[in-house]
Amino acid sequence: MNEKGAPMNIATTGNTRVIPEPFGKAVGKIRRLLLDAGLSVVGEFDVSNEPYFQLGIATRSCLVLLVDTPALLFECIALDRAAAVFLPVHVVISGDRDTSYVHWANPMTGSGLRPPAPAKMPLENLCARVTQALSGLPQAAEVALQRQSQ
Amino acid sequence: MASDVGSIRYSLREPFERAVESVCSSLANRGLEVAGQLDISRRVERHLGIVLPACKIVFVLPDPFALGAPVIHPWAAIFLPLHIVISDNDTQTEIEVQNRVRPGSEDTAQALAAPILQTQTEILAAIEAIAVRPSQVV
Repeated sequence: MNEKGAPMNIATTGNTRVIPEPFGKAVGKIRRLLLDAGLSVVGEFDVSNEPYFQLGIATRSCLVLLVDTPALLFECIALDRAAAVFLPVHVVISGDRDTSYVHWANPMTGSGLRPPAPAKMPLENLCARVTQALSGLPQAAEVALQRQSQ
Repeated sequence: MASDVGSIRYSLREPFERAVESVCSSLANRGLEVAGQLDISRRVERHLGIVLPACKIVFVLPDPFALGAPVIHPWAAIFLPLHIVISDNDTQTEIEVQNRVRPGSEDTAQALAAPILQTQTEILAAIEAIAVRPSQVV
């Protein structure tokens, strides 16, 4: 299974973009895009060294950013804390010295699960804002075309 | 038929902080890795000035030695680490665990979801070892 593919409903209901830059630079770029959109990165997990995320490529890095806003977090959990099984939403950045990928999805559609009713709208809103912040990044085909023309 | 409800609720008759410790300990006993915690009630209070009952998210990664799949596609990190929500509810503590994801029927979908499902199964077993479903309380 390669990174460019859309292997399941989790993937096909989600998004992947390509950043033709090294992993470290891509992480900074993603952080700035999220911040500029008024979103907060409240935590992160570097899973590069987890053996199951290495895809057989030793130099591959993988970072999970936890993204929300305080107001949307409150809207989601005010009436039912159970919504927090879906948020903060994860933005996943993987890459190497040449190319990086960013993956994100609405965790509700991705999982086929439904959140507590009061959390549905603020969760949709949060996911839409993440998508708006990141969807300007190029898709895999665009990057391939750029490289061919160089 | 599997439910599409987002989470499964458990109750633990322990004060909040002790319950958080119990949950982490039970997860560790099953080889799961507690990757971190996020105090969301404190986050809401700090940024919005609204006081909520204590509530934390515990983030859980799989036991690499127990996984059936040798590698996981980065897409799985959309869900991993998995979230366990622990919240104070007066005399007891409530624990919310994400329900099992429902992948599509395609082989690739099943393959990608397998490590997530396996981790969810381990988490449910860890929580059921220490807590009860409210409907089962007599």
